[in-house]
Amino acid sequence: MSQRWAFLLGKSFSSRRSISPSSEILEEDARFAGGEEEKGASPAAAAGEEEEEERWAGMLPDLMVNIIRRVEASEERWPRRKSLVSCACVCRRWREIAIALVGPPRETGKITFPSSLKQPGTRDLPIQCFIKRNKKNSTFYLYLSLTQTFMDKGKFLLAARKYKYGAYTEYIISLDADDPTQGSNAYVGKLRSDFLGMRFTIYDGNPLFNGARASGIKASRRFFSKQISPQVPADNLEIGQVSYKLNLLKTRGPRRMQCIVQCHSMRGTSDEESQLESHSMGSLVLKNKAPRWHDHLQCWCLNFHGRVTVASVKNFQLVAMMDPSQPDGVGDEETVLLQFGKVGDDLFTMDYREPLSAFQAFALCLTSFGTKFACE
Amino acid sequence: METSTCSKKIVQLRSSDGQLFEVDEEAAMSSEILKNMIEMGMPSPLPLYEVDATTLAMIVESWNRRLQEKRGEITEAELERWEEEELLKSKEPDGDAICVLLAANYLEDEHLIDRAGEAIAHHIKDMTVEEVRDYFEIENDFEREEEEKVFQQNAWAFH
Repeated sequence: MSQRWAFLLGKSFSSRRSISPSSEILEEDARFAGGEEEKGASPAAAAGEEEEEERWAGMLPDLMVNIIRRVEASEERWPRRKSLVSCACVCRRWREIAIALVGPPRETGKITFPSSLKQPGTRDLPIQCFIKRNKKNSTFYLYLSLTQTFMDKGKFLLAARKYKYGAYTEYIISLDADDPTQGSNAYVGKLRSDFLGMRFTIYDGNPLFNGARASGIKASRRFFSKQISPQVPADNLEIGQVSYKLNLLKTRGPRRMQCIVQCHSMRGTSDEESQLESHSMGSLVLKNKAPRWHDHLQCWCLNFHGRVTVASVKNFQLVAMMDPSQPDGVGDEETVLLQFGKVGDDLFTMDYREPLSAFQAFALCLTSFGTKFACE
Repeated sequence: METSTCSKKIVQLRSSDGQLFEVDEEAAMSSEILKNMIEMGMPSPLPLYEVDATTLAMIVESWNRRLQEKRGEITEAELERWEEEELLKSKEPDGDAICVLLAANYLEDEHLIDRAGEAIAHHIKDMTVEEVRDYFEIENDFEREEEEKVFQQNAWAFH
C-alpha cells in the first residue's frame, strides 16, 4: 500500500503538470526530490528516501480516515449510505477504516453493512422494518423502513424463499433478493419447520463477512468458523427454536408461541476490542404476549402502537421470560422485543430491539407464516 | 506572489523542486509547520521538501486569499467559491483536491485539510468501487474469496 501511495505522490507532484525544467530530472526519482542543490545520490540519500516513504505511509491512513469519516457522516440514511459500503469494498485498509468508523446498530441505530443484520438491535426504540410477501415465488422480503409511513420503498435487507420437502419445509434466508439459495455466497441462514409447522429451528449459516478479527470468541468456535470454500457454507449453527401451541379450547383463539434464541450477551461493553473478544452467548427465552379479549369489539387485542392495522392470527408481540438462572438476563415481561403484524394484503411490519438481531427477528416472523393450522 | 501594501514581513519558501516563493509572513502562518519554523527563527529560505512548486503556488495563493478575507477585502463567499472552483476544482473529477490535501497535510494547514477532505469525500460519494480505486490509484488487495463476498456486499447495498 505504501508503494502505491508513494507512486501517487510522484505522479501528482511532477507528471501531471511540468512547469519547471527541474521537474524533468525529477521524473525518474519522482518520489522525494530534495531540490537541485541536494545532488548527493548517495546511499545516505537513498536511506533518507526510505524513511520519508515510511513517514508518508504512516501519515496517509489519517487522511483516509478523514475522508471516509466524512462520507459516513454525510450519508447517514439509505439509499445514500451505500457510498459507505462502497468505500468498504475498495481495499482492505479502507474496509478496516470503514468498519471501525461505524458503530454497531445497538449504539447508532443504523444498519450499514450486511454484518449489521446479525448484530443486536437498539436498546430503547425498536428498529422498524417491513416484510413483503410474494406468494407467486414463495419469497419474503425484509426491508428497513426509511420513513414513518407504510408506503416507503425501504432498504432491502434479507430475502427468504420457502422450499417444501416431504417431511419438512425450509426457508432459505439470503442477502440475494433474486436468488436466495443455500449454496450461494449470499446465504445467511435458514429456518426449518416440521411437517405440521408447529416446531421450527433457526440456523445461522456463514457469519457475515466484515473483515473483523473473529478471534477469541469464547462461546462457540463454529460460530465464526473460517470458510475454506465460499461455495459450500460453513456448518449451519442452530441458534434458535420456536414452538407453537394452538388454543384448542377457543376457536380462532390466539396461539401460544415459545422461542429460545441464542443471543449476544447484553453486558454493556464500551470499546470494540472487548466487544469482539469477550463475546458470550446466552439463551433468551421469549413468549408471545397474551392478547386480551374485548367483549364489545368481540376480538383479541394487543396494543401495537399503530404499527399493525389488520387483524390477523399471525400478529404477535414477543417478550422475554425471566430466567432465574441468568441473573443479568435481559428484558422484562413487559418490554416487547419483537413485534410483527399485518398492514396490507402482503405487507407486514416487523419491529425489533436488542438483544435480537434483524436476522433472528426475520426468522422468528417467518414462523408465523409457516404454521399450517392458522385460521385467519 | 502578492504582497500587501503595508510593510509586512516576508518569508521565503523553497519548494521541493527548488523554486523560491516570497510570501507574506502572516499568510504563511496558516501552516503550523511554517509557523514553527518562523518562530524558531530558521533562516530563509524555508525548505518544503514535500511540496512541489506547482502545488505550493496554489497553496500560497489560497493563503493570500484567506488573508484578504480576514482583512475584509473579499467576502467569505468569494473565498469559498474560489477554493471550490479554482483550488480544488470541485466540479471536475480530476481536480487537484488530492494534491492539495497531501500538501496541506504536510504543511499542517487545518483549514485546507478540511476543505480538500470535504471536496474529495464529495467526489467519491457517487463513485463506484472501481472508480474510487482509479481516483486514488489504490490496488485491490482482496483475496479471491474475499473479493466474492465483497462483491456480494456491494450488490446488497445497491439493491
